[in-house]
Amino acid sequence: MSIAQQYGFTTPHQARSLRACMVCSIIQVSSKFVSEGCPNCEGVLGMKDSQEAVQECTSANWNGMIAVADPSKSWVARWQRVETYVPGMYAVQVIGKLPQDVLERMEDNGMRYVPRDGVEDVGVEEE
Amino acid sequence: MSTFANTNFEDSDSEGEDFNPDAHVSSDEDAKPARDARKPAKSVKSAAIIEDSDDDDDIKAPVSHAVDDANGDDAKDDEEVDEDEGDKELDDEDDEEEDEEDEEDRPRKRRRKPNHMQFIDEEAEVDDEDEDEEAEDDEIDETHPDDIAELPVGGENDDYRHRELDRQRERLQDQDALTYAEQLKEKYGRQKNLSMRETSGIPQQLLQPSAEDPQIWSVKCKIGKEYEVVNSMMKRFAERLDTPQAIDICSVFARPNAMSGYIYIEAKKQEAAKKISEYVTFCYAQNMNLIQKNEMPDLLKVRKQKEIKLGAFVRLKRPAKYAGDLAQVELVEETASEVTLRIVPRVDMSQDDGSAKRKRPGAAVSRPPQKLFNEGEARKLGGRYIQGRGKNQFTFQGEDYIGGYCIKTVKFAAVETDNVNPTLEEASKFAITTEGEDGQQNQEIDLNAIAASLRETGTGGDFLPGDVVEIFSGEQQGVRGTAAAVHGDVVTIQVAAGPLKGQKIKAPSKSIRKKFEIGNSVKVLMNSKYRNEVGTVLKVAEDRVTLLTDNGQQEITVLSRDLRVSLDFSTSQLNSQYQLRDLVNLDASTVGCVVRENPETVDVLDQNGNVKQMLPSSIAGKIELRRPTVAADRVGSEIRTEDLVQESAGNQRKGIVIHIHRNFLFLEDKLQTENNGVFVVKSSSVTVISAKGGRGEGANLTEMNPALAGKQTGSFGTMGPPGKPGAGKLPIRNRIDGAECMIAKGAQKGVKGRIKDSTNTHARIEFMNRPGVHSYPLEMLKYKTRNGEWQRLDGTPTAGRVPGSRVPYGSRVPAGVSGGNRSAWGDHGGSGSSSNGAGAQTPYWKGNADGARTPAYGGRTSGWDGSRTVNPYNDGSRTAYGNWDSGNRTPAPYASAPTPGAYGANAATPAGLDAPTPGPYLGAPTPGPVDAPTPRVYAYPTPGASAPTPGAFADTPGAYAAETPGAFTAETPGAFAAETPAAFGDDDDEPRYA
Repeated sequence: MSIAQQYGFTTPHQARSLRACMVCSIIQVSSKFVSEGCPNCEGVLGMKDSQEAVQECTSANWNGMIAVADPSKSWVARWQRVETYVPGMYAVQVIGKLPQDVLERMEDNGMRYVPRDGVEDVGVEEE
Repeated sequence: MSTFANTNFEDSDSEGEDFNPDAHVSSDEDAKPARDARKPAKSVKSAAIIEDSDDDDDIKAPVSHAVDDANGDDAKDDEEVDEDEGDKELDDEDDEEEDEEDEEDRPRKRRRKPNHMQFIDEEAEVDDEDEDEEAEDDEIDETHPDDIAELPVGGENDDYRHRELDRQRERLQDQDALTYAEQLKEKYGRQKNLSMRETSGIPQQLLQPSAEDPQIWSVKCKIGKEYEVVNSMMKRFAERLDTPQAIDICSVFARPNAMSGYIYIEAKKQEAAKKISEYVTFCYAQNMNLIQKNEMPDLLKVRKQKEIKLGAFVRLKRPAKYAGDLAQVELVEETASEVTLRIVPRVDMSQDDGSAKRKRPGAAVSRPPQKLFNEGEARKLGGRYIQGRGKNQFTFQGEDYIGGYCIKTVKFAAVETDNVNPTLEEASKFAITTEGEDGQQNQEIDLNAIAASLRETGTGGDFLPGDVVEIFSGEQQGVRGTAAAVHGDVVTIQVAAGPLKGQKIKAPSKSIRKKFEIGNSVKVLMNSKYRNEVGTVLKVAEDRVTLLTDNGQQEITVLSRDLRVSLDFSTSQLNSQYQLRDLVNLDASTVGCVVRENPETVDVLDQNGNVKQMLPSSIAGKIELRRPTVAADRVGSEIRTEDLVQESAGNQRKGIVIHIHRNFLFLEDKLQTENNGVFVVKSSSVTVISAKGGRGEGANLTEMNPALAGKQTGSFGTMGPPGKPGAGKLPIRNRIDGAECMIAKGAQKGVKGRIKDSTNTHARIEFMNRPGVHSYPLEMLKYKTRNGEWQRLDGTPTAGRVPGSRVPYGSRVPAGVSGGNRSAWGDHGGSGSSSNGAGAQTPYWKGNADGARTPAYGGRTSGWDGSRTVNPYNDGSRTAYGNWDSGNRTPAPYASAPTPGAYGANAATPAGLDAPTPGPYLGAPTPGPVDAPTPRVYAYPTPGASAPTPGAFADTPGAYAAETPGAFTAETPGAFAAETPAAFGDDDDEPRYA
């Protein structure tokens, strides 16, 4: 894997199979989710080698692409709350709902799940 | 790996909220305090309430006995301990006795827990406890004998071992974590030392960019290639990383949905932004714009995607076959942005082999009609292509059908969720199948779905200033007030009550509904099937309002959005295509008269005297009477509409004839209430009591002779002379009765109404906007012709009449042929007769010699159509009709080849035509005047030519000429008038007409 690919580079023809993790919003080709899991949330989502988990926990319905090169310094990353994650491609918005059991697992682990579908931040918007 | 995950998260209770998982795990400090925090909880000594649970504290804590928890009691146990310890403080000493009993039944673990508690942290104090947990109260120092037995001597009161075990485990886990972190580091080698949970749980407002944050530049790029550009830049960044050419950027992002054609580069220095963007394909890096700090969050603003709800109604945009069709949402697959819909199928049953051959793209798709899937039909088409999949489930031509509906999965983009506005009719197609064992309930659900989609799609147009409204969703829920202004979807509300009273607030129209009070008089607006119903509000449940209709006293329930407070009287005038007393076709052999209009249906009295309630859609059509109908009563007198007749037998009912259909008469007796006073009799069972307009009794035989009638037709120009007093008023009446009219002068100019009745000078008008019938002089009115034009009524009736005309009925017959059939045969009461009748008023206009009117004539060809079958005895003499028809159509050549010269000649030589006998005229050696322009008229094999009175035929061309629009428009009234006598020919002194 080239260094660019490690940083989330994808070719245009891969665009169709790109999916975004519903927890951390990282964008990857779905096959990469299966082969390697999510670089940020694998611990709780356990998507590696599980096509099913990938289907459940990632969404093809995302929009906005952020190439996060330097998460720690980037304000964008902080705003998107991905500053503690690995550099890579992240989505601005990920539509979809995590299955209940995954939510419960996260809760059991004391994680607060903030959906990335923009619902949470409606209050922030002026509209 | 999972080990780590567990240890990392299990302590979260004491740590507070955690956001998303952290990739970063290497730090020792992170893991350690977590465990330390847990440890004290285990070794709490009961009475001691220690606020802080630091490492140092647990050393001081009294020693309890240690057990095997060091071997790795899981986090769950720890939690229980916390809870127990909380109890302790709350409980009284009195409980002790009981508790000891309880203890016996409880598992061992629980019993010994209290002893582990050396500290009580704050969280525990506020913990909510289950009732049974409260029993968990013990003396602090109590140690179960079993536990004591397990412990080494002297260990009961010493937690040294306890802590040692803890530390041991810590080390072990640290090692685990370290190894795992190592692995991760190996995998994602670039990882920086990031602090954990820095932003989790912090509201985004607090994350606003500060001065130290990097800057963002916007760069244009090719629309549609935003993601490609971002990827290219990421590639460049990654490849130059750790090289001398490394580019120091923080991020690059693009949001094609919100801001297409732009990408944004976040970097400390613009130089870096330049470096990353130059020579990137599709990126136009010449111009870079710095984004203001305060605008940065806007770039990442996320709008909530429109949610598609289960059961909601949507409209399909694609595929073309179903475009615009209503569909119900069965399943929403958000992550794939797909939605599964239930659609009323449009199965193409024309495909003989059912093989769904690929059609040429772009070929016009002819849509098969909507129809529920029928297995039998599909099998007929191509049985081998149908696959059964359980009960009522089939796959046919690549589509799934369940329960008759097509079940189809499409992308969100192919679905329209705004402005769905399902009509009840459309939506009811979806209701049919859901009506199962509990059809009632399902129906209700569907109504809700409709209501929901209507509400969703509600537009501001539904609200008018002055409406009393209520906000039912959003922050200001419950606020009531009056709509003060409506701008698009935003309604400004003058709040009427509550803390905001007197203020004006704005709210989106979809969060507002109209508010009605019980007793309000309301009117139903257009969208509902009960439109125009007026009633009183009986009940208001959310946005569903039940009202009692003024008309019919029914209870109906409608959505409040379809209501408006109304001061209207119940007029019961519906916009139905059928109105009271209309003659309608029920089927090929049955006609009926509308005797009652209901909101959705009409009651029809058919020719056999039965009253049926019918849907307007099941009525074949209205019978537009274009010609007068005549029947004969039992003594052979003619009966026309509006005549007063009486049954000669039976009840001897009297009534005004409103319709004549074959030998059935529809009579109206206003004194009767049954069927609105309408009843049906056979014409042979009644006698005429008085004929409308004082028409002469008995049939006029001259009228029965079509040939004769034809002769008289020729007298078009003289149709003015009605032989009888009173007959002259008919034309106007017929023309305008029932017509929509408008006041053209005076204070009430512009007010619209409908003419109920008229005389020569006045019309009685029922206004649309207020009750009652009022009389107005005709000069003040305009009426609407069938073509939708407003026409002035000029009341100079009978001006052109020729007294002493020798043919008393002459005035009628020509009118009949020339389009003014009504004047000939009396009116037949039809409300739509206005334009037909228009032709009849020819004499007036002519009499006025009003040049301005002539064009109106020209436009009256339709009148001709109507008149061409004129025959007093229409039922009997079909053949004669046909002949006349053909004869009458000949004007076409005339019209297409207007030769005014010929007319001019005609007009110029009145003397020649004035010959006392028609014979010479026909036999004249130079038929030029008439013949030349229209040789085809004569060539036309109309039997009329062979009529016994050739003179009659000779005249007809004149009539044609008169009728030809071209001729009319081309000629001045004067010329026209001049021509008339020529055609009429037989007698009188023409000058009068000039």
